[in-house]
Amino acid sequence: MKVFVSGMGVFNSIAHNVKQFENSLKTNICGIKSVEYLHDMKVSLPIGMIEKFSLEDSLRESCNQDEFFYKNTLKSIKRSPYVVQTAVIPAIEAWNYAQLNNSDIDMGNVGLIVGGQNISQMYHYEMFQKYREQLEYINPTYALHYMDTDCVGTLSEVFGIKGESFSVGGASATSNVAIIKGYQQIKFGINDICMVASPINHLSPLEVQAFYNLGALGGRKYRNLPKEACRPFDEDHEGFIYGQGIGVLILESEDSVKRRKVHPLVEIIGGSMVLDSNRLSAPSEDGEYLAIKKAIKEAGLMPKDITYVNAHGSSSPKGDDVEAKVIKNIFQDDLSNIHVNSTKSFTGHCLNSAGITEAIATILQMKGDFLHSNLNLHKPIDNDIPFVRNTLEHISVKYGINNSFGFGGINTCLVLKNVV
Amino acid sequence: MSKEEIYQILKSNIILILDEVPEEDILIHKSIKELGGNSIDRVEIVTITSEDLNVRIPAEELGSVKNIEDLVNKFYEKVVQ
Repeated sequence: MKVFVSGMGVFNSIAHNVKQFENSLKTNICGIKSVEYLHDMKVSLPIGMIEKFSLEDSLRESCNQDEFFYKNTLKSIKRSPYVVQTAVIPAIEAWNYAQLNNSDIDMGNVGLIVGGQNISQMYHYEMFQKYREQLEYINPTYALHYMDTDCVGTLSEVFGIKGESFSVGGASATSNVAIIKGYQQIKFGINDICMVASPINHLSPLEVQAFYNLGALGGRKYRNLPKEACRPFDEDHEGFIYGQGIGVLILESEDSVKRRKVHPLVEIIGGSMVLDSNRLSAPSEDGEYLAIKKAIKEAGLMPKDITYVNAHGSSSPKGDDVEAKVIKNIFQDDLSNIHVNSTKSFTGHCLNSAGITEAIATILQMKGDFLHSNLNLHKPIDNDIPFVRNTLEHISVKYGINNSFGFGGINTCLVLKNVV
Repeated sequence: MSKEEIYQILKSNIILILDEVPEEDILIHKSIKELGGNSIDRVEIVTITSEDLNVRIPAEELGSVKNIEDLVNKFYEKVVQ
């Protein structure tokens, strides 16, 4: 059973919808700014933060004049944690994009996979601060909201989803894991349609400080020039830059797409997850190599068939170095065939939602015949790899891959085929 | 603190949690269920009001509370203790 992407929605520091995302990628808009995330330290860090916005206004806009849907949705999310409220907006965009709002479908065959673990850390942190001395006054709804599956329950309520649904984790590779699980679910015939949604990974000061102490967080040298801080594959890369983003894809079986007479965007033709047997943060050449090779093989392709690589490219020195070596190794005979970029230079590293944000960037580039640049790539760490230097127009890509690698030795790769 | 003051605090929390209920519909002889609240809404309203009044009502004592008036009386009992 073929699996297609029939809808998408996005919300991050450079876009509140798919159209804006495409424009921002084409015109080199960087969403990273100086934020005093660690209030106690009074230190600003470069972060791809989502600016304050009106939930009601954004919700109303995405609801497309459907007043009934707007009122009911607002009721469901009015006092939900930030990560749940914000997830609903691009979910509605994706749902409408796939024309599911107008479709007569069996909701028992529609599933939902939320790509995210520990998504609402900030919420826990704030609750702890507020109630540590007066535990008995803790809001009872915390018992519902503390779980990542609050997002599953809420989205299923908003859309009426009743098929097999759950949340998944994979560290920085989470969304690829979620997409692959959705792809397998449909291939296996469990669901006809699957909404894959990755909410904001809302870090608390604890995680940000820990990443900083670990040396994983970048932005020291370019603290005062936040837009230059995220430099995937550049010699001045220092570490990843935290980004906030939400991505939603609607995956759908070929049968369902034909039945509903909708136009699919791309086909998912391969996906792999390979572990390093290593709980730590170091990237592995072997693991990444195997993951990419496996995914391409599953897609029934050879490296020479791939013309686009959306790299994990997190701006971490070790990570970028290893990934560059692996790309060179896999595509060694066809290096001039491929184009490589990293969407993280625009949005920062959205952690849970990195993979899905980058899958959407991949789809937009495939459908729009363009390739976005690599921001801040002034001195590449490798001069043989064809990194995209400036936005390229009139480029058609038939087969592209999307890499995501996570702490704990988790390596994933997704292969997408453009649908004419 | 008088029972009337307690009632006003409770009423404002009911409006906060059951945001579709018009103020004029809230009458002291009604129950939270009658006003459209579910069991989670009820616990939330009691918790927020307990925090406002700096008292604690053990869950087992809520069994005998049948409507808003009972709730006001229960809170009053704790406040004067």
